[in-house]
Amino acid sequence: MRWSSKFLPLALLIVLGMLVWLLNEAARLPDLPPHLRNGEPDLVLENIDAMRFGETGQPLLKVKADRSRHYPNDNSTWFDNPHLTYTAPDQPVMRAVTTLAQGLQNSNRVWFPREVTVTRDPVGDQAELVVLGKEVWMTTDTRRAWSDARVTATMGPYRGNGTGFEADMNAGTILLKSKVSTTYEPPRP
Amino acid sequence: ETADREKPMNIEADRATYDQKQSLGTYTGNVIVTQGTMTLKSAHLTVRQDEAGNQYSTGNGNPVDFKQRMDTGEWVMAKSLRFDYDGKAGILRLMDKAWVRRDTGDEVIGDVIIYNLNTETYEAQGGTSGGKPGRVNITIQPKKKEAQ
Repeated sequence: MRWSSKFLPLALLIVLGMLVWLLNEAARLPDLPPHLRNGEPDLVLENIDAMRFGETGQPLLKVKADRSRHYPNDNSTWFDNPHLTYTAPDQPVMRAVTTLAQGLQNSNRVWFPREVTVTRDPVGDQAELVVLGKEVWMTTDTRRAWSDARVTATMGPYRGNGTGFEADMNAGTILLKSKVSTTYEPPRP
Repeated sequence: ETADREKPMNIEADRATYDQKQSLGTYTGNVIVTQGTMTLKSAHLTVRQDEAGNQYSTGNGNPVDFKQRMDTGEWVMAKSLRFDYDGKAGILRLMDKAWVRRDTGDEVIGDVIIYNLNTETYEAQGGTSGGKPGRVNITIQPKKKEAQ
């Protein structure tokens, strides 16, 4: 009799613990499938005609595109057939026209995997600067563009082709990295 | 030819930079310039344009090779280690081991040779490297006599 009265409470506790564990397992809700598979957009817009403003109300960026898709996993936005117009204050207007673009880091950095035409308006006596290339990276705050692919750059009477380039659109400088061929058309007398 | 300067200028090179503000192009590696009948080959070249579109270039090579046809149809070939070109004045200045030769056989060697593209004439200056120190070396081929 002494043996059973000593161990009975312990046994009851063990049984009670197992019942609680079983109940917990039975009540566990199945893991809900994530609402988005990785790599899916969380925002899709069609026929975009948007404008971004700076703190002073100055328009900074105008975006016209057929469609945009925002991806939360890397916070990037893809634009289909975009026309991007950058109008930062005290800087010449710069435009980018292509069939596909990806905006990263709050669109401070843009990737153009396909052929793109980037144009910077004339500045003073500097002619319009036009860069036609592909696989081009561009920073929209410092306005630099670069690629390792073939490029054509036109600046007034001066037209250059090369493989690989680095351009500072504001300073109006361009480095053609290899296989360079340029043409200069002297003005007609 | 004197009309060459109004023609498009093509430049090929391994690498190039262009600076709009200064209208300055810098070319390095296997530089080949062609403009009309003129061809110039060098290792390094800088080209600048003024507002009127005149071009000024300098360059060096091992050597610099220059070739152009004259209005008379003759060809002029030239070599030097350095050159300087003023498109407005039409003056090509060849420096260091300069050598100019016409396909008639006339030849000039000097430290500096100044070739006037307008008048198609050249002036040679002696120096330590031209032939004998401080001298110019000119060879003029006699005109062939008309057959009797």
